[in-house]
Amino acid sequence: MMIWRWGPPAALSLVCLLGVGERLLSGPPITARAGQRTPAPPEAFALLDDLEIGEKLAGWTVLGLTGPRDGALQLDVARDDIRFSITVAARGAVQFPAPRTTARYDLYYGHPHPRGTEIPDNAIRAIMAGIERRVRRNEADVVVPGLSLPET
Amino acid sequence: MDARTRLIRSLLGLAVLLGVFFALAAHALHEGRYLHDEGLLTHLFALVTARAPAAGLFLQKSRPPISALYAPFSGSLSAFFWAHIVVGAAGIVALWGAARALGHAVPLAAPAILALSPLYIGGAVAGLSNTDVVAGICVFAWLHASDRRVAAAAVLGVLPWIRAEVGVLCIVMAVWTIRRRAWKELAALPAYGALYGLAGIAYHHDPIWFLHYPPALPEPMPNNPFWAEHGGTVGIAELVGTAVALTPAMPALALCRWSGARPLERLGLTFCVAFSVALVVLPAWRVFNFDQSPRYLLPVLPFVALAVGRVVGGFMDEREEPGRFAVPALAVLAVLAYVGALSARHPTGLLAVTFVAVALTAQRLNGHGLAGLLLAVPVALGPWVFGDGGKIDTRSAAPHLARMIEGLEETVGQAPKVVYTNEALLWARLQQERRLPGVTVLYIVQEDQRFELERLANDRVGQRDALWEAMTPNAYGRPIRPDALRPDTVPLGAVFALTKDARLPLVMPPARWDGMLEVVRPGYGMVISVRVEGGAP
Repeated sequence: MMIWRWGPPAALSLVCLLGVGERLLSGPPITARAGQRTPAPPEAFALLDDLEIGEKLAGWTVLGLTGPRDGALQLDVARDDIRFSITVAARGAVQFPAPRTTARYDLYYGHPHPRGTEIPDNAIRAIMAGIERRVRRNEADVVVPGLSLPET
Repeated sequence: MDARTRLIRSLLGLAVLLGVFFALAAHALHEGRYLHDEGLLTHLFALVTARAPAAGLFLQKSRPPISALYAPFSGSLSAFFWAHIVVGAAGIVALWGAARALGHAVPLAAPAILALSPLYIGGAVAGLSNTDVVAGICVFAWLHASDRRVAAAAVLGVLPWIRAEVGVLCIVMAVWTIRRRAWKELAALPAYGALYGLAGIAYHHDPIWFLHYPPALPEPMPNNPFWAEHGGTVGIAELVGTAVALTPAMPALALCRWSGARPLERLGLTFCVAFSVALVVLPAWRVFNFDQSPRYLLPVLPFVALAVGRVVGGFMDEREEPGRFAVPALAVLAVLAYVGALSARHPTGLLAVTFVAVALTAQRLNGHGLAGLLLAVPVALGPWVFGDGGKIDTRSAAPHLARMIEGLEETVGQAPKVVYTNEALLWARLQQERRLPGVTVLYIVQEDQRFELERLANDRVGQRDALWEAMTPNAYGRPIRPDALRPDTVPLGAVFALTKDARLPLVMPPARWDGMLEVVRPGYGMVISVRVEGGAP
């Protein structure tokens, strides 16, 4: 049995095994959604009552605020390995009934990660209510560039 | 071992394989794991064909061959699903026959790859027409390999009326028959189409009705927001996930020897390449309305199974060596699988390549039996480990469905109630789980669904009306047409269970519905609302 026969596939097997091990040890990939989106302008943080990255909302950590994109901001929050997003959309930008609304904005939640994770109802209620209060306090005074109905 | 003993052992193996396939299918059906809107569409067309045979059969979109096949079973969802699973099992038997006729050393390998394919099992349980066409291809392969080539060509000619994209295989076959000057086969290929077209003239009063009313929209509905949300391109992670969901033995294609393959197997591999390129690349230019669902690639599975089955046979009987470029080809696949794994939840593609690489090492160390076993392991694990990329399980396709039903139960209770929904799976899930018996589900037909039906059906002969009438009792619930859904036609207190869908504003324009619905149960990608007074006039 000559090594040139079994050596290359053996080496490839080893590399593949190392690759599988490396991928398993590194855990599920954090999809680069937040990283690929545009960070929100200061006015967006002002609309949310000077929200800060890393701030806690009902025990959940604010990971980032991005947009506006298509007339909506996206706020990502996380606890342990679970994430989900709150969307603050200009009225009519998302044509779907909103769980909560303010005078100028519709609030939604979604994008649980890992996919299919059930976020506890009380956490959603608390965070959504908190965001709604913040938006209500500031929406009359703060104009976020781009946070309006997309041009058609 | 004489030929008779080999046949008996092979038949016993096939029986075990079918037993495993039926057991997996029965379990998945019982769990409701693969309830899928496309499967319900297969059922709907069978139901329509049972109620209005002429209108159903001469609507090319209805996939007439399988609508006629399943029409007798369309009275009950359960009977339909089981009939569909039996057709899937028939495909496995036909592929076994093909592998035997092609002289495979291990004729059970190819049908095992098919029977344990996560996508094939899921599609068979779901009622997807994609697995019907796979079963048809298996019958074609069996007839062709058994030298009944004219019959094979005739069977192949039926398949584009089940899934239009399989026309690619017909084109490849036509070129091949012309090159071989097999004129009878060439003539048999369009036989079904010609007979069907002629028969339809009497119904449509139009000699070229099959062009005027094609099986699929030549291009999507104009300004359909559904397509704005679908980029038409697909990432490496999705491609790798799809490949191993078709079969985790897919990387073993790298071990195939072109020179060792029979002409039918070469035809199949040529088709695999042409078809995969067409389905992965064409949607980027919006050619045909494919939506990048992995299930569209199912037709390559019989030929992949035959090719890998020959590799396994070569390993076991020590006669055939893998191709010269096996290692470089595997290395390329390993790189692709690793890149895919960077953005996937599990490195299943890389795991599948690893099994093949280790099997090749074992083979080169003269451990032929071990090599065959190493290829068999991922195939056997397929339904449990490699199915993620198939994306046909209900939990992936409609993750909001369970929460929607819970929300409805909280909202409606056991009271008789009308629920309007744009969720195609709601009615069927309630039936399957025997929940909310007092609820009448009204399915909101989407604008592009109406457009497609009306574009592809003939109004002048009353086909459109006949189809709508046949659908009235049941199409994902009782269908309500877009033009009939207005605030003044919906009683106060009526419940809406809506999924987030870019097409929804086309049938429920916010200008008309603003303030008419009060959200009572929000959720991920879905919302339950109640019709209230007020809002814009």
